[in-house]
Amino acid sequence: MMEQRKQPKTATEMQHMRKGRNWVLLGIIAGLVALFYLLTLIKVGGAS
Amino acid sequence: MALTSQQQLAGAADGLFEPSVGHFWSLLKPRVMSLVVFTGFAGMYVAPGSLHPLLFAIALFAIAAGAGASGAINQWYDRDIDAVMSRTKSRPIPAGFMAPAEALTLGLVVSALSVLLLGLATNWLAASLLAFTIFFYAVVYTVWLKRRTPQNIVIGGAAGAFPPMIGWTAVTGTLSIEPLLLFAIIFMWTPPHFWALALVKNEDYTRAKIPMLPVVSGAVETRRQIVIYAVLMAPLAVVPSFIGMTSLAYGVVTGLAGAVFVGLSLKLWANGSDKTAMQLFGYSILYLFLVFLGLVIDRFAAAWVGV
Repeated sequence: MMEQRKQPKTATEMQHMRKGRNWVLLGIIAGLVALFYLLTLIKVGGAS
Repeated sequence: MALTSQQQLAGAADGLFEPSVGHFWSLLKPRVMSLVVFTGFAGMYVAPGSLHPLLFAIALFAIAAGAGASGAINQWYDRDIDAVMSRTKSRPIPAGFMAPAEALTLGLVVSALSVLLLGLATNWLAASLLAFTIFFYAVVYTVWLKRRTPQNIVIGGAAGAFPPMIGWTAVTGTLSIEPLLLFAIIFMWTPPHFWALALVKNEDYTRAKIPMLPVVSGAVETRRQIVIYAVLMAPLAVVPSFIGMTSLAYGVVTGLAGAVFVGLSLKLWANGSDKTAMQLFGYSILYLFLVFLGLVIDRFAAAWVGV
């Protein structure tokens, strides 16, 4: 069941929420870069 | 500063609300994903061969991401019927937290990434199977079958049956009788599992005009079909111990668990109560968990004693 999350009432609140979401997105992209890097290391290293 | 009317209008055009990270997460159907992760893990663990631990984790992550992505595409397409069903009306799109395009974008991007990741981490046969699974769930089931035929979850159930097969293929690079057997167990398990719930949620499905079996053929026929599938499924779960895939102990345990499944189906057939239907629905989840946990324990024990 989806929780009823507080919604922004002001432009500042909205910007704050978007900023938070963008940081999470940045984290996901950085995580993917790290994942592909590790994948390459293992594959180049000869692991099956 | 309060939002100006122009900003509010822009917000309305965007879908009114600001979706949170939690909304995106719920779009991936985490509960379904947990089952996929578990059966996918079991497929990978019991497969002969080995995989670097990190590749193993990446492969499992990719399978989970693929399942989540297909869930997001499903919620994008089903947003109209989700809005009229009590079980689904609080999902992010019908509840107004997210614009449909955002859900579709997430689904498509994560689908592509998951297939790419699995292909690079393991092999392209496993990646192709994952791509086919996403297509099967998002297009064959969601778009073609769900609103057209009471056989929707019988055929569509294949999508949920693929993960252990993908897991097995990720490790071995080939397909054989064992992963097909794991596929068959989940495939036969899906109809009684969903029909038990559909019997209780019949009004919801009727309101949404989804032709689930209880809506089209009635409760009596549905209960009869549940018994048929349960009787066919229970012996299938015992087969691994007859083809040398597991020990005899596994066969005994799954045989007993299957007998309880059939017993509950018969009880539902006889009394037709919502309470028994929910009991069967709950037990079916436990049963699948037992069957696949049994596979993992059996393989672990065999490795431990050096068999």
